Amino acid sequence: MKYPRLSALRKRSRNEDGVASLEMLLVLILWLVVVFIFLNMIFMLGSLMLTQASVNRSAQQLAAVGCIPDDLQQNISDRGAIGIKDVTVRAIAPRTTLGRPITVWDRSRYLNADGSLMSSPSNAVNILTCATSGPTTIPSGNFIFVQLEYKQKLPMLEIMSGEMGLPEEILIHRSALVVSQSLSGEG
Amino acid sequence: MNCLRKQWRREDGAIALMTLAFMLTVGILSITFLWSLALITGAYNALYVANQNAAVAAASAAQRPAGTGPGGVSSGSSQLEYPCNQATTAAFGGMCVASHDSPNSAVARVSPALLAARTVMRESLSDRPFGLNFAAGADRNVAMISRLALNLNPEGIDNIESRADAIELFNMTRSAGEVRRILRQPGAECLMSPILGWGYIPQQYSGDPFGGVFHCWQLEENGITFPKNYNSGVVTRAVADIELLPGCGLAVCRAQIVVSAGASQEQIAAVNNYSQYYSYRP
Repeated sequence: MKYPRLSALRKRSRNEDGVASLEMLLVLILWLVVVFIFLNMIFMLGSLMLTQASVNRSAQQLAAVGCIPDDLQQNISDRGAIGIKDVTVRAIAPRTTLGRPITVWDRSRYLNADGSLMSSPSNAVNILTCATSGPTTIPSGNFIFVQLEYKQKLPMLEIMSGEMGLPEEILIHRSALVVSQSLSGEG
Repeated sequence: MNCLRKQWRREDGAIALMTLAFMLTVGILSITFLWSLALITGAYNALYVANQNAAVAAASAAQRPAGTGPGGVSSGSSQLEYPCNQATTAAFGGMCVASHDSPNSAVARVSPALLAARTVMRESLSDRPFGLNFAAGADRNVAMISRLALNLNPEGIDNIESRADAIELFNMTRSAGEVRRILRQPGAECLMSPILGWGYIPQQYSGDPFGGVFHCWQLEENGITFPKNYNSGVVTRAVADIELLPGCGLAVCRAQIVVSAGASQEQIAAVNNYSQYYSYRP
């Protein structure tokens, strides 16, 4: 015995279930995209916080010894577990006249437009590694500017780099300013 | 969306739309909450490290190496060099508090330590991390603070914070043992507490007809401890008002964070030191 009305109801139910499923799928995909973008932002913020703390800690260390500790870059790389690579630490000390108060710091004289440290600023001394220069090369009381340069990897950029032509990594600079504490030597 | 609109006429469509609305609502709320959490964590971290560097810089700049006095004259001891006799400072017994009211005023040039702290703080926040801004201007939302009222009014109000840029310079000219002995006397405050910060308010300031008043406070509340044998140090505190949500002017969207740091410099005299860097003559 056939029930034409029941058959039509079954078909209609199947169609509507399909539409509802597609709608749910659409919503879930949108949701996952939003979550993915957001997680990348959190990822980035966490990395920035870690590296900022690292560069400040390194700057204080550098202010005490007056040169870049040999294993500083390696230490920062080890601590920066969240997708950072090619870590470079550079530091400069502005040339000052003896007896001049330590009031002047103008970052535009030492930084490029993109925020990176000039390779050889004319009015500053490049601070070398301790193995090269030995400690306490910067007069006490002088400003020391430390910059950490590294490449930040993000999962989102790695996925989108091939399709949209975005770079796989972002070049980031984090910096800190400290006052030298070394009580001997002259830069 | 056309499909959804068509389905709206049916119950299934309505359910789908309600599901979508529910998920979006929960999603927006979750993201807003997590964003605020990440923002305030990042801001706290950025302010903390900036303030910590400012404290170390101030201590470095304030320290006068042993064997030198102002202008290179030998003084024979290592001590803080600070302008306690300036009009904008107040010295009580073994403690000195230096402050100034405006980052742009000439008064700001009084203390090398203040200048070093301000310069380092400004540089650390020059990229405006997490909306923090120490530069002068109307949009500046970070200030160095000092509890000056604590020292000026020992009878009552003891926790008023000055929003003017200020740091506190401590120079314990008496030994820790002597300070403890004094504070064990009847009537002295802080009997049960370790001595982490103290001052003597002379009679002319204390308002007490029977003499000066010892006053002390605990820096533990800010998580600061100095080495046991320190005799000089710098305390910096910074406060920041941040917007948790951009463009939201409501009070519920704003947060205030306060960080503190202490630094002390006790260094042995060295030949060829550069005390001139610290000696500033206005």
